[in-house]
Amino acid sequence: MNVHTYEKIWLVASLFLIVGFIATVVYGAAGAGIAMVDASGGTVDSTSLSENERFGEPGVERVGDGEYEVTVVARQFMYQPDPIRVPADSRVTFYVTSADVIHGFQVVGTNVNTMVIPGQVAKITVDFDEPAEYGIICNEYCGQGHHDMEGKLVVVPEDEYGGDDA
Amino acid sequence: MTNEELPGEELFLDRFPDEAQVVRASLWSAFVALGIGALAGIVQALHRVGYVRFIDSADYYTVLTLHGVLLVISFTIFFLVGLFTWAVTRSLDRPVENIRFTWAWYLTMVAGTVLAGVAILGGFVDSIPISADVLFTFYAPLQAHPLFYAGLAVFIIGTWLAGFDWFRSWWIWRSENDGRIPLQTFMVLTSMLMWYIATIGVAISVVFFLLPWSLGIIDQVNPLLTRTLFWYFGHPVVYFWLMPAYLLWYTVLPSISGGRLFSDPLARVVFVLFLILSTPVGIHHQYLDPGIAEGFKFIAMTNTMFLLLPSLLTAFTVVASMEHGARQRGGEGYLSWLGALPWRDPAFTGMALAGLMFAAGGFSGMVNAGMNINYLIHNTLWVPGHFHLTVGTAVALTFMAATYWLLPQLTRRRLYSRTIGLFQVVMWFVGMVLMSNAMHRAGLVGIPRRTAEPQYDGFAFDAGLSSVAELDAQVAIGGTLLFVSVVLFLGNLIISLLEDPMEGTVDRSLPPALSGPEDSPEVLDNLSLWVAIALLLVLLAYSLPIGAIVADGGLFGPGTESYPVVLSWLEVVT
Amino acid sequence: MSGRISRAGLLVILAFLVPVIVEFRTLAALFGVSLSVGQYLVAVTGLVMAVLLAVGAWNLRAGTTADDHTGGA
Repeated sequence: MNVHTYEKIWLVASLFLIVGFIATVVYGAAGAGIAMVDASGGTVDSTSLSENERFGEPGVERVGDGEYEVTVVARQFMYQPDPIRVPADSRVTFYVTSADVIHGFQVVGTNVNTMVIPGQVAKITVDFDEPAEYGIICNEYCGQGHHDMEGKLVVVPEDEYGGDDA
Repeated sequence: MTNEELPGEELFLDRFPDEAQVVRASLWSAFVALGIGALAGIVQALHRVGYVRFIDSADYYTVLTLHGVLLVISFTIFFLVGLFTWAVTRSLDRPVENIRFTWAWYLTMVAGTVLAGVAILGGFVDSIPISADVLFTFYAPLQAHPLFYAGLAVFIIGTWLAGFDWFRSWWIWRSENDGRIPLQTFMVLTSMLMWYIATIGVAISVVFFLLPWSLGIIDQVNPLLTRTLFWYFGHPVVYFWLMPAYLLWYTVLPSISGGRLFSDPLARVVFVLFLILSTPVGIHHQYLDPGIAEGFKFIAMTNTMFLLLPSLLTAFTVVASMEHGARQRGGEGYLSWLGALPWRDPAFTGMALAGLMFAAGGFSGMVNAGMNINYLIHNTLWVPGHFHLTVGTAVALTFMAATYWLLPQLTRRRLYSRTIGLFQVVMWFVGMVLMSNAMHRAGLVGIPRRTAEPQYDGFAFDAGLSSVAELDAQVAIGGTLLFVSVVLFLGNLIISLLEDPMEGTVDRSLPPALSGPEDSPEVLDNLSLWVAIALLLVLLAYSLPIGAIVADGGLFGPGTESYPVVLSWLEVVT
Repeated sequence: MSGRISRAGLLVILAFLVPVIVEFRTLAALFGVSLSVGQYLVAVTGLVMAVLLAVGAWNLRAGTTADDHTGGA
């Protein structure tokens, strides 16, 4: 096959670019430690969440020194709990599921972003450093009121944080 | 004489009148869909930013479903079947085997579109319990009326029959001819093979799960499973849209530029790469889905990054072919040859601008593909920003530009106004730059896609250097330019058809490639081999993740009761 | 035919300018230059005029050199 020299150079350069892109993603995973949402949250029966040990009581729970778990139920067209309050300088693991259809859960202005699928539990761990207030939006179309679906995440200064809050 | 050349004196519609009729019908169906879809688009653009809201925000999602389905299913695929019928007929230089079969698949596609369209339009009328406000991706447990799912299934069956039609032409040609598959036919066949593999996923989802579920035959579905089966199809469908555009860039654009295709063998390699790599990447649309292990997402990521290769190769070949054409026209120098290209020709300018935009779209796609980077832009307005560059420009603008070129040989009419045509394609480019750029930037600050009113009470988006108001204005202006561009395009076409038929003929012969098929390894034409590899890669990419989803949650979903189904027509009537 | 930039060519060049104009303030900010809206408008008007003048000058130059291709488009 006749491959022009310039084309060979282009092909090699393209492959370098591709491998380079893959390398940046690998760095993100292995170096910077960004984990993807995965199957470790397990499954759940979306029709009986109120009887579920975890999702029966959405809210914030302290599980260790500077470590918190936030259990969130998304439904048309709101999040429970709302607002979500966590202290600054903490490591928070969110457990998010849906009571009805597919939703999104995005903390605006951050990379905290996950799909919320009924039957599945989205588990993501986030480090919060500074006090701040964030909006949470549903970014997956979920019905007629989709555009009204929002929540709030408040990262409270440590000394002001009163304790497990819903 | 190769089959790549029609004698310059004979118009396609004189040589193949029956086929020309089907091609015209297909293209008209495509343009009707384009017009309605474009109208939906301007309504959305102005509604989202809050400038003009004359519909209920709840109806926005009906409009959005219409926009998505009509533009990326009807417009793109009707154009594809028309173009492919033209391409196979002319490159094999033989009529279709049975014109009635050809009409049958075309009408099947029309029937499917009508069924789905009725279901969608029912969403505007509250008193009719028919709706399909589920968007182009129709994720369960949002449920549409069964007509919607049935319509999509019928449409896809129509396309399967179309592929069979073209394969049959090739089989018969092959029994009578030696030699390599003519390039255009090769492209059609590989595209259709990819399509057959790609539609397996969505066909299973619709036929075994969604349709029976919407009819009440089964109680519930596993949302993650049906979503995964959709995206099995949802990525290769974008290549189904792109491959006819590539066919035009490879086989027509060099000729319009005044020259010849740089390399036939590399063109075949590109299409083979799409055949084998397009499907085993679908999980890159599900990077943020719970229920799928990171390892499967990583595999999808690497496959996707390699899928950049055929497009990068295309960039080289297309630009090289254009340069060759420019130099044939007298262009010289390192860069000044650009000036020798036929910029006055809207067919050329449209395709060239489309190709350029595609490069930008490819790079924003690479960000999407970047697994962990995807967190920043998933479901934000960045994503429509990206695909308006790819399907919205690389494909749509190329189709419009190609129509200007195809018009005489399909209708015996010259384009009414080249100037308006040129204006139209440039206006599309400018409008898209404005809109898509603003969408990318809006997505980066977190503004969501698929949302009727992306203005929230509890917080404000921080648009950094500029402001949300500025971004909104750009989306509105860009969207308006795009809509005007479609109006100009359709108007120009319609007036052209009202003109008198032209006298004489135009030379639409396509010269052979500089490096022809005789230079390409015969293994490239071994379609069975490539299909086998494609299926193997699909198996490797999907068997484990789907197995895990079913093992963890069951075929019909975790839990033993019905999911609450919303927007369900069954709930409305019972 | 080679050398002269036709009206169609000019149209395309101006189209290419659009993304630059749209992101001009962002571009400037990356270099630490923050422009008010008024300054920005002046700057982009100047940019467009500079491009038009450049094309005009190029065409004048192309017109007076001896290599005239009389072959058709």
